[in-house]
Amino acid sequence: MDLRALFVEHHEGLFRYLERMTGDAEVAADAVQETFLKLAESPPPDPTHIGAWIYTVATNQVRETLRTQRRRRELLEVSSHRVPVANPGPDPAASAERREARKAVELILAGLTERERTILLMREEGFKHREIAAAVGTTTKSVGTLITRALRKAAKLIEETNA
Amino acid sequence: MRPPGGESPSGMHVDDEFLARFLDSELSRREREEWEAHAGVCPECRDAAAALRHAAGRFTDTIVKADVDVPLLHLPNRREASFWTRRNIAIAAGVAGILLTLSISPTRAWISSSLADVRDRLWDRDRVSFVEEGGTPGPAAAPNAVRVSIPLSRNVLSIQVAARQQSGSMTFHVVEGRGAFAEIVDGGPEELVVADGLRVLNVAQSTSSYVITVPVHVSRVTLRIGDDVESQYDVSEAGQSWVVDFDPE
Repeated sequence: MDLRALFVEHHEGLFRYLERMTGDAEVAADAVQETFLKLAESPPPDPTHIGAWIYTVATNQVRETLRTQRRRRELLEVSSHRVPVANPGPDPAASAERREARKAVELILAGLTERERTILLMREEGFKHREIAAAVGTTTKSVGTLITRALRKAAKLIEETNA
Repeated sequence: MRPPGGESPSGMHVDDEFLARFLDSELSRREREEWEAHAGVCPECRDAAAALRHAAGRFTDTIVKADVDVPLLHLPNRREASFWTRRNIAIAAGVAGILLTLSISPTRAWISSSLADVRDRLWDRDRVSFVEEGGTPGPAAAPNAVRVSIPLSRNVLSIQVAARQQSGSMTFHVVEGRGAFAEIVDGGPEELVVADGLRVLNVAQSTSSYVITVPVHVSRVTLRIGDDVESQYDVSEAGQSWVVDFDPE
């Protein structure tokens, strides 16, 4: 297994996938590093779908983080009127458009199930249906059906978000 | 349902799975031929395929707009990890040696006070952790700890450094005990760097204590729990560090 080649092949797509899923570049970058560390230390016994394995490990890696972030958002909504917000980050004037776009993506992804999110975002990275099936633990045939339904659902959510 | 060749009897349309494989170019050559023949006579399936392609395009456009640049990432180096492991072993060996010396040295008190300095330098931290397994403060922390009880309800705890000390960022060390359900809002689960304070959520199910160690150079902090009024604590009274132990009632 050529770890370097796998990193070159997958790390950008994996970062994109994770950043889209979490909306947090730092979490995504950490998860990419952690995933490749796991790959180096204990690679999967069957390397047939190594790409799917990498995405599965990375998805699990950020799952906990996503849970934490959800709770954080809840708290921020509850307490934002009386607790100062720390580290606001760089001036967002230039990235205002991106923030709006990110908000829309969050709304859309929040309307999908976790499995639908994973499937659609892996599809965006060019994975074959059989690879996505391996990653989410279902049959290739089911992935096709899930993709179609999730895309229809996403289209509806996009309409609602834009409306 | 598979595409019924060139005919489209009522109700015979391609299914969702077939449409997805068409969309993603995963049809076999034979299936493609079947599709072309079928689509030629079935406007409904043609429309369904077009709608799906449109939906996929919109989804892609929407998420791409929110994308950030991929940062420069590097392949984690196992040798790097080994180096840190070796370094930690070396530090542990050094500390063990010092402890042995401590037990027989007449200048024990002097070495003891210097050790804290050495430890802080080693780890590049100006904090000291006194937490024992289970979330209870260790013996070193107990005499100086400020105990605050948090009722078992949803609370927001806000700790702020007093205004005159708000320059620059600050590192706080927060440790959750076993079974904790609290949420540290800013920063990571154990350590956070914030501009002007930190917030901790203590939820109803929380059954554990929290120990927050304030950097040694901080002499005054403001503490607020839930909707209570703010209280100011003088850190200097606590010596080198200041620990708040949150015990649910």
